[in-house]
Amino acid sequence: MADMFRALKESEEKYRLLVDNSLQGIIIATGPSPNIIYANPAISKMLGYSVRKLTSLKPKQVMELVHPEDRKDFFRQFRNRLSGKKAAPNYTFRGIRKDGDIRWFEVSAGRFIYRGKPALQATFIDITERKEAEDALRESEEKFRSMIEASHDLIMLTNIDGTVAYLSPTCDKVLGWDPEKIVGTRPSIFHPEDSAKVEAALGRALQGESGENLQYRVITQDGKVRWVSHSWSPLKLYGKLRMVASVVQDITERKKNMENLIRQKEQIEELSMVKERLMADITHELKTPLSVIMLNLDMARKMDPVKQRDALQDCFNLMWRNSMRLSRSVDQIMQLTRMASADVSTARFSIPNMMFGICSEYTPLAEAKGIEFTVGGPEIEINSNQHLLTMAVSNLVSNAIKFTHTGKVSIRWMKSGGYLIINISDTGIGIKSESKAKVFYKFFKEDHDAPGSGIGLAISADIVRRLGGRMEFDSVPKKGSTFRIIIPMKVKP
Amino acid sequence: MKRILIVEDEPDVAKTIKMYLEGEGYNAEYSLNAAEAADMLKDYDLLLLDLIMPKFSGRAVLRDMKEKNISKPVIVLSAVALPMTITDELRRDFPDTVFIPKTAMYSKLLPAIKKIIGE
Repeated sequence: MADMFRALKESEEKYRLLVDNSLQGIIIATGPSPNIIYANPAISKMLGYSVRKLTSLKPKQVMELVHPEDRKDFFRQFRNRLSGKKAAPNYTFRGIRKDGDIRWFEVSAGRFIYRGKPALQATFIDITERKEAEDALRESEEKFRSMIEASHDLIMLTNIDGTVAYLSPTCDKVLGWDPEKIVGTRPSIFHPEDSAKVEAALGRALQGESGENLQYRVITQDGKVRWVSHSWSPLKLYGKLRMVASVVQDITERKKNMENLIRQKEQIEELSMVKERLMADITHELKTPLSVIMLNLDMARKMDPVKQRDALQDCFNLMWRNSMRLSRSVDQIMQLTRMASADVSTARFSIPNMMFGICSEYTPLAEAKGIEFTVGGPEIEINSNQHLLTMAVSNLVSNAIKFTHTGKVSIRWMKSGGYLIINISDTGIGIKSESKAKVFYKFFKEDHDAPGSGIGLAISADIVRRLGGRMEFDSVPKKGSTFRIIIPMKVKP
Repeated sequence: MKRILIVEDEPDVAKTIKMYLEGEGYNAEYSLNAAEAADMLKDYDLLLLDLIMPKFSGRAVLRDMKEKNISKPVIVLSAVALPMTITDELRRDFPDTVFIPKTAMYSKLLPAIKKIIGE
């Protein structure tokens, strides 16, 4: 019996040694009103009360050690467990320290009989720091999630087997696909011309390489083409690739704008080239007669007016004719600027009179090239704008002579219905069929080395339109061309 | 007497240059047809060539000469200040060619001719 008592005492002492030195807080309490009959130094430290104080607390004071919001639950569990009913093996609650500080604890308890009454031995761990770390992690996760979900761009996570693990809600807007149709698959939504490029990039990504601004096309669920820009980087844990994180941007609009910009730039460049060519052509038209005048003047001033009378006369004739040509070129250049605002006032005038005026101006030019130039038609009076019509016909005659090297140029006119028809025919180089659609364009020239500005035809066509008529032409390359002006006998006001 | 061929589609320009050169004691002829220029050249010492002509341009004449292996000194006349790209190309392909703007002929043409073929 004495041995038994001794053994029991030893066992009790061993137990006491164990709980007194435990790092976990330990309390032994009886109920139903909570009464602490033992508290170890660890729980004393955790709560800031001495062991003695803890064991002398009244039940109400014991209850006040638990945060008011957790108190009811805590002591229900306490009573349940004490009475042998089912209770959670462990749970968390907030305790209040002596200094008012609130701490999180995890508690687990076991029931036993103490001096004939049921008692609980409860073990406490202060989990405040762990809890705070968990909360911070949860908060940061939520922050990232809301950022991802609010993002304009698509965020995507890809598993290391190439299947899609996650797509943010903008999937629909960016890729034009329901995310559920893609998550879990290795997507095949790429434009056939781009899929090899995307597969190659995915291969590199799954090797752990990052990539930026890979541009490719996807085919949306309803079959439309969309451009995206894709950047990605590997997510590694302990040096091992776990996933690939991607940002995918819809750049369809940007691409379209870029293409428009490029097109505009090309148009501007073309326009500036046309302008440059026009300037060169205008210069050529002005400097050719000017060079003749200058060279003749240089000769003339060195000549003996008596002994070289005939040669001097030749010089003067050339100078005169080229001064006229210079003046005409300047007029034509002025036409260009004036055309836009020219008013179409009308008066009655005679077509033959007008034509003979044009004839006298161009005959010397034709003769110099050895070309026959004829004009003919019935006496007709029309109500139109003589100045503009003269300009239109002159441009066509000038072109005809310019592009005819042998043979003839002729003007013929006739009346048909309420219309005047003027044919300007030549036996010149003609117009290639592939150029026919373009001859009325301003500045169009079949051959860049050809003289003239390429505006004569465009000006004529413009004028004829203003006079309420239209222009037509027939042309056979190397045989010649006929340009036809058809205008009403009376321009409608 | 040195013979000069003028190839120029503008009759007045051609005629004026011919008169001018004759006045300086050269034997000058002109052709308005650039296509036959290369073949005519064998009887001449120098070619005065207009660059901008319809149908057959001065550049085409130079290429034609090169193809037919006809080597004669050439002075290119132009009424237009040529874009650098074209002058560079011509200078590269025809390095002996002299360029004279038409409006500078009265002062530059004669010295250039004298330098190439003499009085």
